[in-house]
Amino acid sequence: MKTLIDTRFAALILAAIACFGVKAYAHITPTVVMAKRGDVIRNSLPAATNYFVRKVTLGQRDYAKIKAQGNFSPEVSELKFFYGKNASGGFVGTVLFDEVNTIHGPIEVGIAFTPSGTVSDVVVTKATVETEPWVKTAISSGLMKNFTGMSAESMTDPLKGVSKSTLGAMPYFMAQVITTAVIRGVIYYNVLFQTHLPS
Amino acid sequence: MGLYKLRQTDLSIRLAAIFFLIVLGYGYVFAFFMVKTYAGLTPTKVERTYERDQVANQSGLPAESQATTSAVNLARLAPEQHQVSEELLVQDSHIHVIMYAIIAALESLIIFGLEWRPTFRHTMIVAAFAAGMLDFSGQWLMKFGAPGFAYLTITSGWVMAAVYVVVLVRTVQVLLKKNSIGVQS
Repeated sequence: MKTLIDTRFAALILAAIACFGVKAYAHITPTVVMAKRGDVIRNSLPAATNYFVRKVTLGQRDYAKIKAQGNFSPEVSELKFFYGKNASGGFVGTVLFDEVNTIHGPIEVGIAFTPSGTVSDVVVTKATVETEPWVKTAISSGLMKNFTGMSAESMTDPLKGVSKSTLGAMPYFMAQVITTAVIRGVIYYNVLFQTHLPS
Repeated sequence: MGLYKLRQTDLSIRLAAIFFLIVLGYGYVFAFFMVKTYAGLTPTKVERTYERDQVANQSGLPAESQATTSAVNLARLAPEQHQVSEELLVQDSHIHVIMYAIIAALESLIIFGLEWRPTFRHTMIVAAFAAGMLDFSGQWLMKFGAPGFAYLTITSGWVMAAVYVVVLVRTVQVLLKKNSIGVQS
């Protein structure tokens, strides 16, 4: 009898492990997808009917150019430029996603460019559970429209008119992070994409 | 000082033990869904989550940039696999490893009272502590360029779950034993 109970008990444990085998694998900082990449590309390039991706593996010469132009060292060695063409094959614009790591987790920003290389749209695509409310507050300040028209030749200050005292410290920090992503994106576009625009 | 018998402790202690395990399990269920959502449940996805950062080291780059172009179907654009950078892994490690130690210590306090044979009891205690440590060891080893350690991380996770389930089931069994005493105040 005792053996039977022990066997049943062992089976119960094994079944519980099998059912509840949860927890396995690793843990990660939870990110929040604020906008899907595909939606951002589609919405930012409304005239496009066909989409392409150009994957650029960074070379030393361009690395040096980026460092000189943007005063930062690229953190990734491969960048993806999504671009669209209209029905007649005309190039209609490009979208690049840049991620900035902060102590509160990563913030990813989608930056859309017109064919002439000016910023046409900026969308935050990824934040974290912690940063999402701050990002939303930063966006509600009207920050995103300040990026429109920016280019490597025309770097305005998007934070002009955005007040830390009005926004609060953390939303203002998020505004700075978004601005960093956009400025880096503009430099990446200028060095790695604009020099070889799609025909 | 010897061990104790959980079933002979005050009701307060037994309540604390069982509710700790229930609430811990509740948290583990959400941990599972979080892992499923962000890291994935296969070795391939776990490897991808913790793969070495593509940090651009100027000296390791080719002289000229290289580009390839391909058509994209946005409807089929796969969501980007969540990736944990080295900086994020530092954050995750400092939070999780400390919590793992605390959880393993609390589980051990319960294990002391479960009347197991010494060998099994010692195994469970070592497993409780080792699983958390090896979980993140695997993540760091993947980050340092050894993707095969995804299996270590996955196995450690399963061991952690197994320790929890065995302790939970044994605790329930012990507390339901007829000679468990009533309230001692």
